[in-house]
Amino acid sequence: MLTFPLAFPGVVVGFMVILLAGRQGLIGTLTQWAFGENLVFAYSMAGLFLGYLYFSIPRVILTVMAAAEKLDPKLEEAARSLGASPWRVVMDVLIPGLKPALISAGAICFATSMGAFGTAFTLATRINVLPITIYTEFTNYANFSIAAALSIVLGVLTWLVLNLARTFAGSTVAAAA
Amino acid sequence: MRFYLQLAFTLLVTAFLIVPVVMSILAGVTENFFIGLKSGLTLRWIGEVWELYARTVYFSIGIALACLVVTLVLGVPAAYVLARAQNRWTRAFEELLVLPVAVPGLATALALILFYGQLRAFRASWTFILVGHVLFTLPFMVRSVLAVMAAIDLGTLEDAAASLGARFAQRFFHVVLPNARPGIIAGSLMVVTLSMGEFNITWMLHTPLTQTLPVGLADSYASMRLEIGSAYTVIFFFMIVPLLIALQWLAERTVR
Amino acid sequence: MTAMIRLARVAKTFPDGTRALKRLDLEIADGETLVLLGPSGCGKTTLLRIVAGLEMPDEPGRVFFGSEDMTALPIERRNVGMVFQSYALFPNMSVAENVGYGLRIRRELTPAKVDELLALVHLDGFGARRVDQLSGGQRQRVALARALAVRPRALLLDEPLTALDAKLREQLRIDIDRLLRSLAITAVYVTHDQSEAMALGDRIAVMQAGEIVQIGTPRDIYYQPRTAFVADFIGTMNRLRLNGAARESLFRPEDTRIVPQGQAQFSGTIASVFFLGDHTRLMVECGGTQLVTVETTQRRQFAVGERLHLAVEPGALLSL
Repeated sequence: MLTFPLAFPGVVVGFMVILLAGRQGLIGTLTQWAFGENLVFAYSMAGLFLGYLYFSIPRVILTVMAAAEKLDPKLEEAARSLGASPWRVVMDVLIPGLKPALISAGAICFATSMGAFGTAFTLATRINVLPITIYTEFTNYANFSIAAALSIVLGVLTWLVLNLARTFAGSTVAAAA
Repeated sequence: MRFYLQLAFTLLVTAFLIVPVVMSILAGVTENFFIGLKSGLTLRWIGEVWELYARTVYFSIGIALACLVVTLVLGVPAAYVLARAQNRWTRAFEELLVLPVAVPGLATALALILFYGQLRAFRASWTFILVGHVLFTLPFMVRSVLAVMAAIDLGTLEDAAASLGARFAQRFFHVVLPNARPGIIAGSLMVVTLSMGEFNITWMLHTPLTQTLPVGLADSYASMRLEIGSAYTVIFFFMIVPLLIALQWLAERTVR
Repeated sequence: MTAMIRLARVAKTFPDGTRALKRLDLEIADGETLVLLGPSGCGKTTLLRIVAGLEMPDEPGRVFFGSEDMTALPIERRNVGMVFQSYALFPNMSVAENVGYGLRIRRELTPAKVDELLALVHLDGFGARRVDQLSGGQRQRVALARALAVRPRALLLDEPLTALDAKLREQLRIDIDRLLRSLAITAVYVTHDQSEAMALGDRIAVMQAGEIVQIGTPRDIYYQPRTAFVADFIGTMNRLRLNGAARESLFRPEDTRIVPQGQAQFSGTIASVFFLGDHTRLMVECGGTQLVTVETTQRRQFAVGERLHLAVEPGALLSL
């Protein structure tokens, strides 16, 4: 169930952020009631960040879960039998064992966030991220060449990063959108 | 102690993900969002949404099904070839196939427009959207089917069928396809789900006449009141969550 | 219908440069069971696949079934029955559907025929079961039944027992032997297990590095090995220089007798003792290049470090 948000288009995520943190958002209502100030941050960097966080978490969960399932529990048992405390087991066995998946998950988040259009479109009224710039260049200014060139940059960057992810974690790359 | 900390953390994350969804659903069935639940529950917004946007729902379903057919016809044979022939050409082809997934939807859409934009009739028709969707979902079908095909020893099974006299077509339909079925089903669900939720590409490619559900959603967020947008979102959830549950159930079955 | 199989000038080099088979000729008689025996990589499986039609021999190699030239025909048209090491049963079909598949292709499928075949391999009533519900031995028998269903001219078996544990292997070996004899079918059997080869083969072709180094009956191979490789590969072979001779003599452990000092041809100290139930195996240090293996049915206990006096059964000394 935690991975359902993977299928939500960026716009829906943006909309949900607005519901939470927009001018009539839930958080605004709560802070109004508690502090007398209507906290609106949906259209700022914080709101954008929240949206990006929302669709990144399921991807990380999926990637790391796949790797965690393959981790041999016997490694953990061996460490404990040699006297390692739970903290040391995490540091010395879990994290090194999950390192490829963690790197891969990080790369996926980076790539997806770089290319995220729908969320930014809904939320970033004043902020300009690369996909939005490409879009406005194309539709408003008809600067096809600039739009295309920027797309190449974006495309190559994300492809490189995802390739890195695949080298480390095999082909269990969660869907990008 | 550690267990409860972990549990609390997990619950927090779950809440973070689920609460907005619940909120959206509630907003779509509340009489007035600003007043809140006190204003009462209603289906009126959903009714209004249906009047305005029913066409997009049908269009999305149609595109998703068409996308499924195309990816099946193209993807299953492609996966078969990739599974049987293991040389550097096939590996390169696999890389190429995954490209539309790595490249942001925006860039893919742009590429399509710049390349085919001159063909007026094509540009304005639903097939244009279909091409975008197929480009994006085909790798998932191929990967899903390929994963299953690569896991079973297809080569030896085909040798066995051949030793009993079966020609290629017979082997393909009697042995290869039935054994690839789990991958085909998983891939199909994946394709339909992705197509239903696809926004980035479709937004760039659409015309007012070729609007899918997510595109309509964006439109309603921008121009309609909050309750309409939420009600529309409810319809979207209603369509996509069963698909996601089915995908999840399938995934669990194959793990067993 | 069984047929004589003849291979003429057959060789095989794979596209990546591996030379799997050097040029060879081979004739298999009607109804004979020929075993291809050798270590992995010796080319025995490649040879089997060429007979089957899954690989093509290099020019100008030819494969004949009787007087028919089969070289250009793929396996679908050769009417051979093949049993694979991994059985290759179709997971999407039941046992009955698997067994009947060849008949289905030929449009000769009847439930009666399938039942008859299942009875032949002692799997009566198993028809409705799924493949994953069967044990290893049962799967192997289904594979056999499936291959025999189409009345092939020859049965080709690629290490069919390798995947099974020892006890099962022995049991199934007996079943296969009985089946092959009662059907009088020509069979080519590939294995790396020499005791299996000896038990099943009418003739054994010992292969090494793409060549047949010796071909003959099990007795020929065991008692008259032609090369050191064959001697070592089949059973255990002792090598020792006797009576100050220049060359090593070869003799089998079971032909080595423990004798009183006066009758001994050589002596040694026991290095290891293995009590194997029905006999005892002794590894004795006699000053040679390797330890001498002695198999004895004497029931007394032996001790490491004990001094033994040994002689070889007259007539059992081998020369290469």
